[in-house]
This record gives sequence, C-alpha cells and structure tokens, in this order.
Amino acid sequence: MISCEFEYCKPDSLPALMQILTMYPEATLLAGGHALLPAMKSREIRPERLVDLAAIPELRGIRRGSDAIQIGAMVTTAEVEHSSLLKEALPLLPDAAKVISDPLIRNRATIGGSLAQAEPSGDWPAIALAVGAIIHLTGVNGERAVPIDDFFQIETTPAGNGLAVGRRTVVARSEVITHVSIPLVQGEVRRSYLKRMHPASGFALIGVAVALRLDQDRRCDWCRIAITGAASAAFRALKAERCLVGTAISGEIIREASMLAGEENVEFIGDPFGSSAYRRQMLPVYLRRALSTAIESALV
Amino acid sequence: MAADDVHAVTSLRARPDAAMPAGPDDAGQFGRPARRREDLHHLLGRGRFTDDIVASGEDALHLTILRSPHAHARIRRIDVARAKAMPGVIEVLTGADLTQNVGPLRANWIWPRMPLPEHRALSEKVARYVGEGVALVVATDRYIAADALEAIDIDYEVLAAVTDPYRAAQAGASVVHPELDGASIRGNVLQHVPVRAGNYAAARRKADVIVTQRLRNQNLVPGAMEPRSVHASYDMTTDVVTIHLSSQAPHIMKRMLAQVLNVDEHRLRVIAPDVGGGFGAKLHLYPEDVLVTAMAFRLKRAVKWTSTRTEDFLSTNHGRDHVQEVEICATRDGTITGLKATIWGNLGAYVSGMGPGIPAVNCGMILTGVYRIPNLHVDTNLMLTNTSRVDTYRGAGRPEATYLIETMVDRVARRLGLDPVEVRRRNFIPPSAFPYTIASHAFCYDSGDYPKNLDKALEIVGYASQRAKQERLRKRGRYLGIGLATYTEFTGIGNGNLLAMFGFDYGGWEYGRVLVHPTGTVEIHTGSADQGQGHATSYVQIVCDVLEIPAGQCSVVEGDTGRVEFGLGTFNSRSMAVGGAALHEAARRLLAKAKRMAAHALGVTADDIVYAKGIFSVRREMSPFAQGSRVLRRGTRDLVGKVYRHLLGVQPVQVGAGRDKISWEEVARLAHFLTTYPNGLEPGLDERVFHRPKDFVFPFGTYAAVVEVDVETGDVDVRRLVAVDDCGRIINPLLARGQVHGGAAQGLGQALLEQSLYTDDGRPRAANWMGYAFPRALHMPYIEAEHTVTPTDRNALGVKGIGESGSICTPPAIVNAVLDALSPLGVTHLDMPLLPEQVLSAISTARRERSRSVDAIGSGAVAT
Repeated sequence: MISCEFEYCKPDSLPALMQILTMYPEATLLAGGHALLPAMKSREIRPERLVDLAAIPELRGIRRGSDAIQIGAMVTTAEVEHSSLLKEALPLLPDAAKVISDPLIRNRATIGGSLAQAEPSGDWPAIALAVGAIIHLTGVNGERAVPIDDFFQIETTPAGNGLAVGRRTVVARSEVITHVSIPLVQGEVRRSYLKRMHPASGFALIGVAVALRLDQDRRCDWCRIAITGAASAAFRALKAERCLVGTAISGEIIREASMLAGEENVEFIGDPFGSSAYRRQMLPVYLRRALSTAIESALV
Repeated sequence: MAADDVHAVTSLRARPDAAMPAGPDDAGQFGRPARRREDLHHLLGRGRFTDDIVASGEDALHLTILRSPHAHARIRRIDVARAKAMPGVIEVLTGADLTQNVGPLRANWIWPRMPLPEHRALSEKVARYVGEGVALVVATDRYIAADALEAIDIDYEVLAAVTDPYRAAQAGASVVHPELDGASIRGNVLQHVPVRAGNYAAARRKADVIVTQRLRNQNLVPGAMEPRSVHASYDMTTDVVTIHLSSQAPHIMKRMLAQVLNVDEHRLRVIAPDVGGGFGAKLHLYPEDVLVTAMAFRLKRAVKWTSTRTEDFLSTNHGRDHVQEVEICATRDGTITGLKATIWGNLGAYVSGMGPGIPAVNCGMILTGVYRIPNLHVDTNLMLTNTSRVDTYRGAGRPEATYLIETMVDRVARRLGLDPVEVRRRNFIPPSAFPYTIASHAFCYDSGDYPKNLDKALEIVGYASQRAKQERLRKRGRYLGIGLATYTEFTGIGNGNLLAMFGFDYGGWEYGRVLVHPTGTVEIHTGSADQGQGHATSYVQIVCDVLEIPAGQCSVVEGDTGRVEFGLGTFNSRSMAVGGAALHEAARRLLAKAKRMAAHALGVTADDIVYAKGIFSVRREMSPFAQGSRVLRRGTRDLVGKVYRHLLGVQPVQVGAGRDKISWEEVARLAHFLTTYPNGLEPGLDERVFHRPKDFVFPFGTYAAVVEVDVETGDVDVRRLVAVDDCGRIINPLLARGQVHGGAAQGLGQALLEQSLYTDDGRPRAANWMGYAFPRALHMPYIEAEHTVTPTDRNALGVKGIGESGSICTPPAIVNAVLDALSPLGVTHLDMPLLPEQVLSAISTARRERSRSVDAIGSGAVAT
C-alpha cells in the first residue's frame, strides 16, 4: 500500500493539459482516483507521471442543451445524484447514482473516470449504454465524439503502462474524455436501473439498465438495454431489445425478452460472490424485474 | 401484506430512543444511559492512534517486512546486499540475524504437555503461511523502505500447503511442522482434547432419533478499522523503550516483550493509545511488536511500523475456522440425551496467544449451551495449517459452540415435527438448578432464567403471529422463516487457578485504583484496555455511583503501563465484571477511608458520619455517648490548639471542629494536609485493588430472526433481528446496546457474507475490503435489542459481560431462520456464509431430489 515514486502535476485548463500530454504522451490521468490510486499503492501499476484533472474547469458542470444533456467528465457521482437538472430531465442518472457504492466513494468517483476505466462491473458503462451517450474526447490531435456503442472494446493485451485505460475503451493515449452528452429522446421514455450490489466492492454483481419508449398503444417503439457485471465489459442485450421493439408490452413479452438476454453470446465472469453460472442465471431475473419496474412506472 | 411489512420496518427504523440519553453531566450513576465521554474527541478528529504518535524530537524510522508470497516454502537463498546499499536504508535483517537476540514468540495458553512449534519473529528457513515475515528493512521513510523490500533477492522452493483444518488431519496431507511430526505430535494434529461425560453409547442406543450433520464455522477476518501499528522510541536518559501499540493488553505485551527480547521489564513501557477496534485480534503478541521494539533498542532510535490493509489481512490473526462433525440423540418427546462431536479447529501455522484454548475449552467444553445434556463424547483436534494464526475473534469459541448446538436443536425439532421453541424449553437448564455444573465439568453456571428470556424474545418478535404469517405467505409462494437461537457463554476471566490447570498463563484478576487529588478530583486507573467500548464512561458510572460526585470530577487512566502499574487487559467481555468490580471495591474502600477522615475532622466516629452527594455530615440521631465523646474531643482539640498557639504561635489545621458538615473537597484536602491522622490511617485517598473473581459469569439470551428468502435469486432479507440479552445488571443501557449492535453486525457478517477463502496452493483469495465482504451499514437490519435482568452473585455489581453476545447468537438465529424458510422446499442444510448463490443451489438441489423421490414413489406405485 505504498506507491512507487511518481511525478505529479495539476493543470488548470484543457490547453494546459494538452501541452503536458504533448510533452509526456505516457502520462497517466488522475480523475477520482478510486481505481488508479489503490492499484498504485499495491504497486500493480507504477505510473511515472500523474496528471490530476481536478482543476480543469472545462471538464466540470452539468448543462442542458436543446436536445441533449452534457455532463463534464470530472462531474462526481455525488453531483449527479444531487443534480436538480438531472432529477428533472433524466432521473435515471440520479437514481442510479444512489446505488453506486457508498457516499464517500460517490463524493470522489467521476463519471468520466468510470467510463474510461470501464470496469467490468462498473455502473456508468451500462447506464451510458442504455441512454445512448456520446463520449467527447479531446487529444493532442484534436477532438472527436464517439457513440457509446463504439466506445468499449474488449482487448486482452494490456497497454504498456499496465493501466486499463486504452485497453478496454477506444480512448487513445494522450486523449481525455471532456464530457458526455446524452440525447434527450422525445416521447414517453421509461428508464430503470436495477443492480445487485457486490457486498464487498460496491460494484454491480449484476446491473441492468433499461430505457424504452412506449407509444400511445403501449407499444414499444424504441429500446436500449445494457448489462454490467456479467461479462468483461458492459454490453447491450440486443436480442431482448429486438424482441421488445414493435410489440405491445405485456408480462409474457417481458418474460420472453428476459430469457433472450440470458442467451447473449458473452462470456460471463465470476467470483466467490457470484459465479459466472449464477450471473447468467440472474440476468433474465434482473432484466425482467428492471423492465417490470420501468413499465409499471410508465403505467402509474 | 408486503406493504405492511415495509411500513413496520420503516416505523421501527424511525423509532426514537425510548429514553433520550443523558448528557455527560448527568452521567455517573449505575444504570443510566450516559453518553460516551470518549465520543467528542473522536467526532472532532482529535483521536490519537498509534500511527499518529510522534516521538519527541525525531521522526521515527520506518520498518517494513518482506513477506512470503507462498503458503509453504523453503528459503533457499536470501541476499540483502542490494537493499542495504540503497540510500536511506538503515538496516536490513533476516531471520538468521535475529536468532541470537530475539527469542521465539510465546503463546499464553499452552495445553499441558502440548509441544509448541517454534515461532520466530522472522522465519529463517521455512515460510509457513502467505504473509509470514522473512526479512525486515528499516529506512528513513516508508517509501524507501518499501522500495528496499523489492531489492531483496530471495529464492524459494515452494512446498505443498494445506489450509483446511479437516483436510490437514487426513492421511497424505502435507505437514506444516515436520520437525514435530512423529516426535511429539502426529501429522498436523498438535493436540487432541477429549471430553467425556455420562455414557454416550448407551444414550445413542436408547435414542428415538439420531441426527448427524457436518458443520463449518468458516475462517473469518476480524478486520478492525485501524490496522495494527507499533511505534517504539528509545530514551537515552532513562534507557527505556516506550512502545505505542494498538493492543487490547498492554501489560501482557510488556511482559511478553521483556521475555522474548530478554530485557528487564522496567526498561519497557507499553502504551495503547486510542485503539480502533480489536475484537480479539489485537490481544496477542505479534512478530512486528517484537521486531519494532528490538530495532528501537538496537538502533537507539524511534522505529515504527503500520500495517497496510493487505498486510493486516495476511498477518493479523483470523478467527473461527472449525469443522465439526456432530451427532445428537433425542427421545421422541424432544428430550436431548446425548451429544457427540469431533472438532477440527485451525490454529494456523503457529500457536498464537490463546489459540489452543479457543477450540479446546471455549468451544469443546461448553457445547451443551443452555441445555441439560448428560451424555457427551467430544473430541477436539487442534490443527496446524498453512494459514496465518487463528485465535480469539469476538466470541472466541462460543460462537462455534453455540452454532453447533443451536442449529442441531433445530434439526432435532424438524426431525420430530416439534416446534423449536418447545424443544428448547424441554431441554433448558431450569432456573431452580443454578448454580449448575455442566456435563463437561469445565464450567459452573452462576445464574440464569432461560424460559423468561425466551418468552420475552417470542413476545417481541410476535412468534405466533409470525408463524401464522409464514403459513399465509407460503401459500402464495413466498418463503418467510423464523429462526431462534438461545445461548449462554462465559465471560469475565476469571478464576486463575482453574485456568492455570488448563495451561492459561494470564491469571484471572484485574487491577483497579481510585485516587483523589488534594483538590478533590478523582482519577480512576484500570488495567483493562479500551478499543472503543466506552470503558471510561462506564467506569466513571461505577465509581461515581459509590462516591456520589459528578462524573465531570472524574478521569480515567487506561492503557499505559507507565501510569497504571498492573493489568491483564480487555478480552472475554471481562472489563466490567472484573475491571469494574475492582474499581467498585477500590471506590468503596476509598469512601470508607474518606468517612474516617471526615469523622476525625468533625470530631465524631466514622459510624456517625452520613455521606450523600459530596457532603459528609454528622448523623442527626447520635447516641448520647457519641455526643458526649464529640464534646470531649472538641474540647481536647481546642485545648491542644490553644497550647500550640500560646507556646509556638502556630495554628494546627482544624477544619471541621464545631461544624456538622464537611464537603468532599475539604476531606480530599485534609486527607493530604491534616496535622494528625486518625489512628492507623496514612495520609491520602488512594486505594488499589487486585480483584480476583470467584468464577466466570454466564450471560445468556435469545435471538430471534425473521427472514424472507427470494427463491428466485437466493437473497436472504433479514426482516427482523430481535436480541434479548441477559447480562445481569446493566451499567449503561446505551453502551450495552451498542455492544449488541456491533456484535450482531459481525454475527450477520459471518452468517451471510464473510469468509476467508484460500486457493489450492494456500493463498488467501482476498486480502482487501474489495474482495472480503464485511457488513456495511446498508447490510444491517434494525436491531431490536432488549434485556432481561438476572443478577449474578459472583461480583458485587451483579454484572456479566455483553461484548460478544451479538456475534455468538446472531449466526445460528439467521441460519435457523433461513432453513426454517426453506424447509417446505426440502433444504436441510446450508453452510455459512449463506451467499445467494449457495442458497439458490441448495434450493434447486432439494427440488431435484424431491422430484426424483416423488418419481421413485410414483414408479414404485406402478410396480406394485
């Protein structure tokens, strides 16, 4: 629990950060630090240079645009939890934030950090998938926007510095997530996030995020379902989505869609608190319950 | 119905305390819910823990330890040259460097004739568990020291390892201490301890039912919030090393360190400052305590070591880890007639302080719990394995014993189709039977009223209506379970003679001292050592109850061998029953002396003094003789005074003459500055007591859990947890409840969440809080903690221990509730922790077996 020696700097603007990354492309970015610092203390990773993102104003703030919400990468989970803007415009996010670990962690953990880290059991990856977020990146070579569906990548070869960044996402070296934008879908959209919290880590042992739109005939005409905690990266339950879209929602169709989610072609992960078989078994149960919650709330 | 349940729970959570706790100034009476005087400094961040200690005038050197990554490995070669050469590195030593000056660590509970595997502070030739120290570095800071560890070249030859106590006993298991094998022990069985009573074989022959089960009390991590820490500083003027240590027993540590390091005990002072949780794991001597102290002597500098969280998982003692094979015999009406058990209790790779006594005595000799069971056949095997040492952890043997008997009683009830309440009642030791010597003959219970206590728990939980609700819900496919456990345990060590016969070297007393300063403030000294219990608050209540002065006038000194000369420490829920009794006696003696001082000053005899609320006054209804004698004394004193004044021109101190009242403060001053003292009295008010209890005291209680099991996910939802403890008279109900809450949390952790697992090659699967599930606030149900009060006559306060009940009785209550919930599905056994996946798999296994047996019956019917 005693890290190796490292250089530390704390730029106060995005251009300043880019300067640093130009000079030191191997630098490691520090957001909330909940993944990075424990790994450094146990010397699993030994970055030579840490760049603290805490003082960069461009990475902060939650804003509402005409058709999307923008959330800065350094916005903490606690800020999401307590944001009145989000409570009104996209309550799924504050609701999900409430079940992320504990208040101390929520006070430090950032949404950008969680997405960049892309832990297999992280909560934000699934939620970002369900709401169809766009990830905005800035690098020394310019800016780009990556749809969340293209953001995660499952790679087994570790990056040179041993960090997960660049390994599990498309974020390149010398690139930073500046913000996330979430398109506001018109119509009667219902969302829910149902999570079984890992009793030790606070991550999702399994987490199911659903967003679906019902037309006036209770027919689902748009749907996104994302799963975390089950595989080495969050993924969309496309079979279940296809099953739901275009159908009138009923108990049977929810059950059918849920069963289909269990048949997704992913390799399930496991640990002593839930083997891969158990997580596979739980996925349809959790999806069914998450969908039922979303639908019931639509009917209220 | 579900909505109702939720409301019930919500309203319980929101329920304000029945009696608001009194503020600090109202404290000082036995039985009042005084708020903790310790809290303020913790809440303000002013606590001072060992890692906060700074020796005067110098920064401590940092010691770090190279730990074996293997559970069992021979050290082929170790080369420290590169590490030694690093800038900032002061010292690098291996086991071989220390053998001359540092003796092996001793245990405190060594079974008669039991061999003791040699335990060196650094292992020289073979590492026997992951985390065992093989070299140390002392450097100018922690980072350099950690870097230097990586520069030590070491070659291991990895050997086969065994971490499970049952597997360690099987033929072909790798042997942890081959040097003992065949000579003084067989294989890994360090000692076999049999207990026999009555005629078990006959009981078995006559039994209507015999129920057998293999049980497991998993390996647990105590996990104090404050990891272990040692800071030793050398004073060149006095040649004394002062050791700050996160410890439950600073005086014992001083004695042990003096022995291991072969230094005079007066050259050591051990201070346990604020201690952030101990739970039994900070009770014993550790290699790091020895190494840091040895380095302070050697380098004549301040040296410190603070465990990292991972080191704490690897190197701090674990708890429990028993495998038990049990057989219980009963007659048709539910009378339990015999109990047979074979226990394999893990001690780890070496013997820790009380390690052997936990399975052998604390569990194996009190298996019969609250029941009259005349025939016993118990074999306890003390097992060596390649894990860190296993020793006292909150409950220390009694949770294992209680789990065994309480889950087996439920099995008997289920087998016979009887209500578990009735089976318990039928077998209880009746209130009229106390004092009661149990079949093992190891313990004589002092007092108890088990039926009354059980009834109270049943009433609070609403047993009959819960059963009715269970019936209703089952019809709707929901599985509610009601689980009971009734316990007794022994607290307040306790009868040193008896303990010594079992090889326990602590003795059984506790030291207490009450002294009064000349200004009237009171200082309370105790040999116990607080780890967050709130000792100071309770001790002040005990002393102020006798002295009738405001609590604010008292202070407590604890955990410092330089200020409190003697002590044994805090363990076995003994601080109030033994430490408190010592202080109570000291306070009484002190008040008696103060009365004599007051009487002397007021010119009466002590018998004519009435004391109340800080005022000594002359009894109104004095006898004519006493009145006459007072006049005479007053006259004599006046005369003496006049003579002095006349001859010498001085005035003797004559405070009380001519008055009827004198205050506590005046007596305190007179006690130090009187010219003459009553016959035979020395100046001062200072009483010291070594209180030696007659015997243990035996708290008891009933825990009732109501759970609902989600049969689709395996989740166990604890709806109610009722704890009705009987710890005799209650000094502070608020603190007593706090103890129950903390114990229940750890009990719930054992029942539902926690286990230290090992890979096949002996490595712990989790060595941090991300992989080991301690219960958090969100896991806890509302705990309904209540009491019955059955005093004991074994101490003057009538108190028994309450520190461990929650961790003793919560696991069987919850496990019984879950098995009760799932009994319609045919689930008859689950091992702790009841993780959802295990629950679910037990349900599907039971369903499969049931459908198979239904098929078999069906096909059988066709065949006939």
